[in-house]
Amino acid sequence: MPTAVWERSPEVLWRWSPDGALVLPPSVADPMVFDGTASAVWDLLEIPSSLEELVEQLADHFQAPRAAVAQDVTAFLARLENLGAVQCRR
Amino acid sequence: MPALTAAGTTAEQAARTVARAALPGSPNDEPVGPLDEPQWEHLLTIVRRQRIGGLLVEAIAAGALIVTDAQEIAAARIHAVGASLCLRLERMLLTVTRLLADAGIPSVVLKGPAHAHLAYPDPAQRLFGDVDLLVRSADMAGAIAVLEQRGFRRPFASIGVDFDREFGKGALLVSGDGLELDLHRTLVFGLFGLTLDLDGMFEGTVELALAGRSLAALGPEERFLHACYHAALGNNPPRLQALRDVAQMHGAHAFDVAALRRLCAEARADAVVARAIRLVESELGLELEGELAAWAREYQVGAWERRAIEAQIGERQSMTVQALLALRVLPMRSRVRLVRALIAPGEGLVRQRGGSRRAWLWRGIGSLLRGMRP
Repeated sequence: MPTAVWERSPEVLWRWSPDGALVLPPSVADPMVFDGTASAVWDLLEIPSSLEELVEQLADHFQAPRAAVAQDVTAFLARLENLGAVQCRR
Repeated sequence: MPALTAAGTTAEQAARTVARAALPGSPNDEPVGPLDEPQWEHLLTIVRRQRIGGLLVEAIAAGALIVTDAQEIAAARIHAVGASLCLRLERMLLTVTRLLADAGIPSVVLKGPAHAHLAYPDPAQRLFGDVDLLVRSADMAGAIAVLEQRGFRRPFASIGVDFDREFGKGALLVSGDGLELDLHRTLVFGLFGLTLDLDGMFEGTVELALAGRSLAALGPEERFLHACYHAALGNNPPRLQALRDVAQMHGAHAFDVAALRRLCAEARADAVVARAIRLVESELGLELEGELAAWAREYQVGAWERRAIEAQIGERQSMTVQALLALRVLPMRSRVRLVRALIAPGEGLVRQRGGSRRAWLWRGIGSLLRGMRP
């Protein structure tokens, strides 16, 4: 079964800022601020990645348990997909 | 240039350091700062007014401007506010270009968003406070009508439909949520805007990819020329961001110098480009390299050019003098239309400014006669 790949939506407008990423998905009125882990996820999505790839890189970077990272990232990606900020190619 | 030390660094000196931050091809500045609080607050005022928050955080990240922790937080806040506005403006740009395209009106993105994505390595470095869009002269009225139907309003009354179509720079429109769109029919107000090959601007466009859409931006030589217009003729003193745009594109070798020189000759813009480059050097404390900079330093401004620039940006700015100088370069029919448009403006403008049309007529004739005096 092909692995699902997550990527930034081509329709999203965004910028880097010292505090993190400012992201304006099509369905949102005002830009959202992605800081901390959210900013790290956004940065990693420069390259379309599977959930497993994202989890591995984040767990290594933040020295955090993979299970906890996977749970948080899954929820975050689902929220971003709802907002139109990311898309999943399955 | 002498090194700037922490003691006695002024906000103006720091602003120049900010404007030079991470400039391609320039040597690294000696670090300056941290500024004392009064000078820091003054610097932030300059940064907000000139919309150089992107360059401020770049200068801090590059170590060119030393700041305290509190100052770094303040700089980040200013950048976030400015960058958020840029995102909202880009959303408006996408909406407007689609509306115009659906109405059969081609458009070209100018200045802020174009420079941000095409001239700077990171668009976050180049903030902007409005969107500028070029349409063909014949499309001006139609474009305004399309946008007004979608809730845009025009805060300043037009001089007249004919003036808009043939002589004006364009029209300022404001969206329902207060965002500004500067709709251009030419690149600059006044005489120098009348000497451009406007149709040619649409022929050599390049792609500006934004949010999955393909928009059009000016070609590299036209974009550099426009940056020079803005730096040399836009404000007196010139805005730091405008000077940085010229320096940025010059330092990145972003255009063909021979093609630019031909474009300048056709547009009678040699003096403007030379002035822009000299201002970059004098105001930002730079010595630009290459044949274009060398040419600009040696360029002898002619009497007509001096008068034209003075009428646009000097202490005695004069729309009347600009109009009279424009008469020299316009074909006969256009001259008649220009004079008629200036002395007999549209009803909307007369109503907005007050007075009667007869008073405007006599005021316009008087202004022209005074402008003709040596």
